Amino acid sequence: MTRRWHFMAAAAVLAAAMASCAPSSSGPTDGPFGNGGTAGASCHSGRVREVFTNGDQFIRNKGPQARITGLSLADDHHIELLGSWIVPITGHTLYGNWQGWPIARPRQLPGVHWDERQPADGASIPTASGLNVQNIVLAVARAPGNREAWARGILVKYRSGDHDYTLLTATRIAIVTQVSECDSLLKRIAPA
Amino acid sequence: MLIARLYRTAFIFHRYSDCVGEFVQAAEWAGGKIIKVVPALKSVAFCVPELPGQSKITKGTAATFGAGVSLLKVVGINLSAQTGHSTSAALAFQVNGNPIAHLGGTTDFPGGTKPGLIQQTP
Repeated sequence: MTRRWHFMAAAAVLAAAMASCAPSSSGPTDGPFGNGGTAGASCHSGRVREVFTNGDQFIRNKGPQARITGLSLADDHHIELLGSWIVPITGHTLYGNWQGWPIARPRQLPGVHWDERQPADGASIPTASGLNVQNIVLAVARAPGNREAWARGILVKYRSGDHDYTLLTATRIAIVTQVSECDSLLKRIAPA
Repeated sequence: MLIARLYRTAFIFHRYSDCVGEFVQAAEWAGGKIIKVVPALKSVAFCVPELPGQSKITKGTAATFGAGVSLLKVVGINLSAQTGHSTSAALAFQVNGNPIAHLGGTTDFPGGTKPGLIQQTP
């Protein structure tokens, strides 16, 4: 009997610990920012510490004005997040994926309002109207000493109304030394 | 006596738009009594520039075109062996040498919840 009680107590403690560190701290994933979109991946080849701009993910806020309370890479390995911004989009083109740091490209990217960008952490996200969305733009690099760097998505924590939510984008980000290494890496980090 | 015959195949062209601009592409051919309708390439409205050089992108659904029409110059990958479009295939391509390439969706940005058909434009 005593052994059974100990087992039940341990199970209760474990359940409480899991509850305290997972869902309540990050919030549910069914908030007004959606569920992260269609699964995909972008894989680039580059040197160690070579900076890439990743700007193919976006937020379409279907709720009231919200605020991002934290942005990070999800399940990241050897990839450095050097900067993150939210850029308003009023056209049919996102910032996209480029080599180097993000810069203003008004002639190449009409409707991408880089000059109105906000730091992602603390950014105010208005209600989406028409085709307008908010582009998540990151600067990332492969850390020294590693041939592969990757993340399973972008983790955005945000507050809308009186609730906290989490958005996990479904596009993986990978940086390798040669593009021929993309296939095997993307298979290994593919969603189960 | 030598008789010369001239055979002519009439192509019907449609106007499409992609991330770069508008273009005209043969969409049907009509020869004699046969009219062959090729599944139309849809216009792309939601675009994501992809960096030049060595990259590999995979997204949800691949747009394809009818057999016998090479889209190699249009979409950068040769889809001529396929007919129609798939709703489940993943499109994987390498961006090589183009100064800028775009990945475009017909109903939303690639990576969105319902991007529709996705294709690359050089």
